[in-house]
Amino acid sequence: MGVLIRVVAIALLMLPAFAGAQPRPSFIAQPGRVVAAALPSSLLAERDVHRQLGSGLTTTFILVARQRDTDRRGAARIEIRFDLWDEVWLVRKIEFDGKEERQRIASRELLDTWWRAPVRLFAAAADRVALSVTLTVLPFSVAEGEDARQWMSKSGGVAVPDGGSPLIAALIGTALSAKPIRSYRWSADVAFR
Amino acid sequence: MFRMLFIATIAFSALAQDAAPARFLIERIEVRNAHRVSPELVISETLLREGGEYSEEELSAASARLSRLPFLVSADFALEKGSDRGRHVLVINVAETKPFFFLVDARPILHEDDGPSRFEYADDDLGSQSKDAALGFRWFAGRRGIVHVGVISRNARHAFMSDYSALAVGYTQYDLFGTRAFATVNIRLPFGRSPKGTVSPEVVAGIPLTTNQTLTLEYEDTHFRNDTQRILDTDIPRRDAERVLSFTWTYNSTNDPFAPTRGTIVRISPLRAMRDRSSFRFSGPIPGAVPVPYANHINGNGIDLLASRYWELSERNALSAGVLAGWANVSDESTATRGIDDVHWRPAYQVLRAGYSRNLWDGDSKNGDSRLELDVRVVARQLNFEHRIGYGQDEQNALQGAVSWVRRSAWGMLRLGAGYAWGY
Repeated sequence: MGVLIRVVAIALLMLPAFAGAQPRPSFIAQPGRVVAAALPSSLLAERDVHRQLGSGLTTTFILVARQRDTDRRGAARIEIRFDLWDEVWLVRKIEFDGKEERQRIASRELLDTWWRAPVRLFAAAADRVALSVTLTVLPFSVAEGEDARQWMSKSGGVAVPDGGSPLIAALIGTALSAKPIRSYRWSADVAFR
Repeated sequence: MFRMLFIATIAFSALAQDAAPARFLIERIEVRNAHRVSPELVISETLLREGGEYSEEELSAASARLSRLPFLVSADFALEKGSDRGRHVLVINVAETKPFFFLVDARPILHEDDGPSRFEYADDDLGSQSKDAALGFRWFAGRRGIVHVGVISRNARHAFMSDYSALAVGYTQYDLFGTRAFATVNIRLPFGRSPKGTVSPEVVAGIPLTTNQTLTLEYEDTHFRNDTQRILDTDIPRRDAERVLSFTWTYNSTNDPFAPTRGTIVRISPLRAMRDRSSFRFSGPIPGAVPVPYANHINGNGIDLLASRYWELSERNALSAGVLAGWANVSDESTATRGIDDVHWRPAYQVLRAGYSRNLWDGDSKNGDSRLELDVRVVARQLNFEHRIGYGQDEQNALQGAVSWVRRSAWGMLRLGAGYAWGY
């Protein structure tokens, strides 16, 4: 009986740890009322994500932020592929306004550092914003069908962070048919001072 | 100066290489975790060839094609280093379905219209690859063959074709002569509404044109009855048989064979059905009447069109919309007794559908799926089958709503639900 009580007590103590096991990013208020997300390295270590990163094929991360009670939204896309022969990480990041960054990263440690850098994903219209943020992890690259830069050139380089933006459609990759590997959902309240 | 230029050229070249979509030279394809299905069969169904160079888009399409196969629950792709720089081994990790399989779609729809209320079962061929219900076992034979035994149930949309259930045993050969084509031979025995059914062959042959497009040719020769009945010292031959020849072009980019949430399916299928029936009728009032044999022969030509599109709004929610339509040309070739009026190419049915589905499955999606589905349809049916040998051309229109739960697992697909249809 005593053993049972101890097991139950330990389980209850461990419960918050399990409940909080899902990785959570930090949401950062940046100048120009821009919301950025700093993603934790632990997300790359999640079993399914880690396995896909080691596949030699692209792993695509799609971040979508929706402002609660409105249809405003922003999105960002990150692609990571490990080149098996050069043994470098080929990474690509496209932020909510179409700003693109490509890099070749030499080690996993440097990849973690690059990954933790804030990703700009939403432009707020007020000094305080409540967001629902989803992160979807997908196998394969979604860039080939509808490239964000093509959309940018078609829309004259103007990125509108609202629900109807073709840039957002491109970032999310609407033509994709692959099943998501993992998905995460967070809430965030961000205040600009 | 030259050195700097050289370094700049190399750096520019590397950047340009990174910006271009990557292509991978696949020197070998390896299938892992395949216990029952043969690796050769999986490889042939990817439509990829060893020695070929492929983009991620092409590999993604091949992966999606495998995930639509009824005997795989999932197929994950990964690359490994090959024998030399720039060469790769494509590793496909598969999760197989069980040898026992089922495909059950049980959704009674209560119809309320001018006549008495009645139940009909929904025949959901808007998204599924097959409109047949099935239950049985599947064994992999050799490197590219599958033997199956089971019960199938066909629910035909065209009025001049028959609904029936049958016991079936069949064999499918994939990658015929190294062409990626496949052929299935089925031997069926109709039962249920056709208790006197006799051995009925079926042949299906198909060839994938691309990872998303397939051409299929199908021939069914179904014998619902073939015997002789002795009535008042007269031997009456009683036959009821149907031959159906159909040719189908399918475009399918969906992500699941039974409950898709993304992609498009378009199917165009011209067909010809020939129905023969011989029986008897009494020559006059009973008693005193004598049985008089008669024979019917009905030729039906039809074209079926299906177009359905699925949008994944989020991880959990998906929307879909679709249209299903058929046209028919039916002629009664009977000599003695004409049972029907000829029908010259006219719409036979139209279905407009809108759907919403929500994922209820919190587990690993590679282990299947569980979804709640809401479905609204506008159904217009212009040709109706009456008494098995005649046609009515009165229109039956209905607005139909249904709610169902669908579960796909390694064992098969189960869809349970109920619906209501308002006639107008």
